[in-house]
Amino acid sequence: MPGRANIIGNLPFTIDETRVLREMRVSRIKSVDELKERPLAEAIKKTIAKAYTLIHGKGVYKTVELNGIGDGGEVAAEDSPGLFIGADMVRLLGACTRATVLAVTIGGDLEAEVERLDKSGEITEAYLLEMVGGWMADYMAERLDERIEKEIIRAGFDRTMRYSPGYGDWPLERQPALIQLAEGERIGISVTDSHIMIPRKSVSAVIGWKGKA
Amino acid sequence: MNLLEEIKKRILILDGSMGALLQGRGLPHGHAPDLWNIERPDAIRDVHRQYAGAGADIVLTNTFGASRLRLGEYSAHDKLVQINQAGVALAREGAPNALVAGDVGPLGGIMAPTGEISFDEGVEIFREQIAALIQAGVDLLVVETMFDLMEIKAAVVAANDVRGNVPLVASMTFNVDGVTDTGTDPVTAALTLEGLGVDILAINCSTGPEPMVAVVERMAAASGLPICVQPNAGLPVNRAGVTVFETPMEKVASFATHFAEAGANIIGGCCGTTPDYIRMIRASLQGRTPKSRSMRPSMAFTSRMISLVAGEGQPFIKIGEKINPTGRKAFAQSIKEGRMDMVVADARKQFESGAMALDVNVGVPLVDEGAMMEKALTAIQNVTPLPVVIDSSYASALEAGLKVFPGRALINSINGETERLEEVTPLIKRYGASVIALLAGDDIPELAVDRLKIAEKILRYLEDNGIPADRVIFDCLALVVSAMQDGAAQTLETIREVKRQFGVPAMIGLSNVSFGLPQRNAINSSFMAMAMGAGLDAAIMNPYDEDLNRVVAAASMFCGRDPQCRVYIDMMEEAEAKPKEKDTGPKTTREMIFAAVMDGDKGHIETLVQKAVEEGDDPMGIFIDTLTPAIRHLGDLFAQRKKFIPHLVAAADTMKRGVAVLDPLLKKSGASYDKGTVVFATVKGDIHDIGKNICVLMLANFGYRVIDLGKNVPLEDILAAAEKHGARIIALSALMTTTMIQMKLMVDQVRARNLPYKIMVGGAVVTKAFANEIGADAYGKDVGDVVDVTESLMHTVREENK
Repeated sequence: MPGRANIIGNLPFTIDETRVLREMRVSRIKSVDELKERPLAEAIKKTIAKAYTLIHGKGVYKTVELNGIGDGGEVAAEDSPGLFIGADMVRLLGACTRATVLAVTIGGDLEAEVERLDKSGEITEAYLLEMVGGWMADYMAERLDERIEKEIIRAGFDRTMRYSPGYGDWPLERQPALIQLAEGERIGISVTDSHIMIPRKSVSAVIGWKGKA
Repeated sequence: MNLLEEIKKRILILDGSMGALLQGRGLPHGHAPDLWNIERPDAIRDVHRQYAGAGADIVLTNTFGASRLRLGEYSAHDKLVQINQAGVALAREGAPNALVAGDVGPLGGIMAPTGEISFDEGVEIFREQIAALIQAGVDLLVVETMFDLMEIKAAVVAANDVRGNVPLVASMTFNVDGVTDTGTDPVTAALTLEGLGVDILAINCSTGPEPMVAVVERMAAASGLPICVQPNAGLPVNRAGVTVFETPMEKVASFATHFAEAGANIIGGCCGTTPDYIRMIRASLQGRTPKSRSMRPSMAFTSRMISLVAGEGQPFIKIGEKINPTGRKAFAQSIKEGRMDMVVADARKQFESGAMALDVNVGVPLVDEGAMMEKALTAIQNVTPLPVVIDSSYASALEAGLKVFPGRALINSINGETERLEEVTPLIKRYGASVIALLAGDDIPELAVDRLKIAEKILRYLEDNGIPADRVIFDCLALVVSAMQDGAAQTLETIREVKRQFGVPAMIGLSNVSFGLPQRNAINSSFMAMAMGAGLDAAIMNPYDEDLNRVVAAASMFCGRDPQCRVYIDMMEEAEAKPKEKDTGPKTTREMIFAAVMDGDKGHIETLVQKAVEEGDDPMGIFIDTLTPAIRHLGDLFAQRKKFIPHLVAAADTMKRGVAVLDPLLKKSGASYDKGTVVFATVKGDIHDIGKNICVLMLANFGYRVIDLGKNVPLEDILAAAEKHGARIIALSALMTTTMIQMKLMVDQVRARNLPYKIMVGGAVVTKAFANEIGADAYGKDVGDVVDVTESLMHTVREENK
């Protein structure tokens, strides 16, 4: 029987200026104050302050038993056949006895505000907020990843890297099954017909548990 | 044996792991050990016997997971009382001469505000198990292996409800970094647990003994309470499906003396330790007496991960005053609507301005203040790590806040009124809070001497109710100077005297002093310096006031609160490091327009362009010779990686506003800068189009007529629009590998039907190789080259049509 889904209703966060700048592909500087263009620097600072009011980090994760590699090049997971398919999944999870599936989101408020700004012609603010939001979904995934990693270490296992549908040969078509297994709907995530998560600023992934040699 | 007396005289030995020994007796993998209290009582009794034989003074009952949720996982919650009672009886039988400790582990779920189990539910779940253990007659209680300060708070509150005089040990688990997995350091844990009234602080599980020594030392430095420590036999290792602990007993035992030196009073073992480990630990401590630690507790309050201590020699505590609806209509309205955006914005801004704690008051008439306090404190914890001051005139709202805040909160406030004392004191006690005591009763006494009488009354009342003076900070009451000029002297006298007579720290709510007067900053700063000189330890104040922040930093050096002036120097260095506006001398309006585009200064561009027009400048000239070169120059710098996408976006947005001023004038004059029509769309299946929108903006700025069809657009609609508008180029954006195929379908359609459009593709996942493969006419790498690519494609179109 699969484990119970753990829901994190509040993922605390900090918006790191350096990471935001990196997300915007701005190199050579570490803080917004270093930007020579003061109006742009102010716009980025205002965007970050606003993003704090729009981001509501939530996560859900569940650990399932794995039953080895099946005939079709699939790592068999309890209750979710056909999820971990492909050569990359075999490489990642083939030696694992358990896997944790996870989903995080920053909620829909930020992207609604991006949409509103975009529609009202505030393209700079829309772009900047979009960039902050894009990074923050990954940030939430990292926070949940840390929590899961601690559980893995506490149980005496090693972890694999975090892997998401669409990476390598793990098809994006597996997104709905992954979200279903992780019970992503409990934190408000749904998946469109083209396999996009709604809210868009969401991340889903799997981490394997490996025993020590 | 009286435990609390005995640990003053000698170091007591606690037992080791239960799990390891039960596995050796055949406990199946995945079976709840607690069930063996009724299924295999002989095995449990035998483990206790072995530990007693190894010299354990205290044995833990086999009830670590014998609580409702955890037993529920094995459908055994209906046997909860029976399992706990059996656990106590078996420990007593197996170790008749040892003290029996009722063992309580985590509740098996995540507590709010992180998870979904409310504080009240958590307390109820813990209380159910603890009541069963108490009823069965345990000698002490141990709540252990807690990672989450909120959870251990619930466990301690539950224990306090039912334990009477039975001693309570509260044990948290720290990782190799010396903090719990939820970020609590040993000092914060010690201060919070001491506030809650536990008898013994403890550390168990997770790592081997080595990293735990520093944790014991830090706890011992923060609290005078006895300390218990139970290391694992190293970190767990899973080999071939079995969890093992590989640190040998000699090594674990060798740390016992380090623990004793660090201040431990009880030492035992956790996961992986066996009676042999315990025997060896006992032997290594033979003849040792516990280190004597006497310490006068300081007034403190904490968050989950930050502790603040008020008093002489401690940093001055700046408490931000802004989360308060008084005189702030928009803020009050946001609370009325249940919105937390302004609370969050103020929390962040105050944190960034150097506030060390936040006063939180959401008292708006006709709102459910308790619900709003819960919401506000949850939201604040998501965005700052700061301790809070829970500020309400309603005890119910204070309690709602205390239930979602994991650390030792500071309550604002009590005063000399008996009714208020009666109402709030039980909350201070139950939730282990500290408290601000206003030196006022029905009214504010004018003279210091009368305020001191109130101070005495409050301290006596609290002491009679089991709350020591170290939980109190006095608000010495800063009065409005314009109304009462003698008031300042009385406030300063009160500050000096509460500290001298009672040894209790002093604070004020500062901003009040300057009410009704102009240039309030000067008044606030002056009074702050005077009050700090009198010994003030903290203030609720405006953290945005930079003058005030500088005064606090400077005065801290004079008051012995900033050793080596480090804080002051760091603060000034940080201020110096900010880039200053450089004065490059007078500029022409055209130069200013150019600079505005380069800087992305969209707030000023319209005025500047308007000014140029009013000065008689030629609109087409402004467009062709200033706006366009500015953005082209930026494009060149982008290509050289000297400027970046945000610069381009802000510049394009700025230029758009400039062009909007010129557009009617250009049209009126008949001048045309139309370079051709592009139909732009994000393909079907893709619901994200901000990158495309920026490209559209860039092209429009350069004089292209761009028909923007938006996102998730079917091919037929794109083709219909291209035909309708006489487009030369169809530009497509896609962001996902699954939607890129739409681009190929478009190319195939256009080729098959021999339509007169060039296809340009781009977007996050699209590569030049893909563009070539599907036979697209052009590939746009990013917003930086979309103009060049379009120009070159349009050139081709023109050449072909010649």
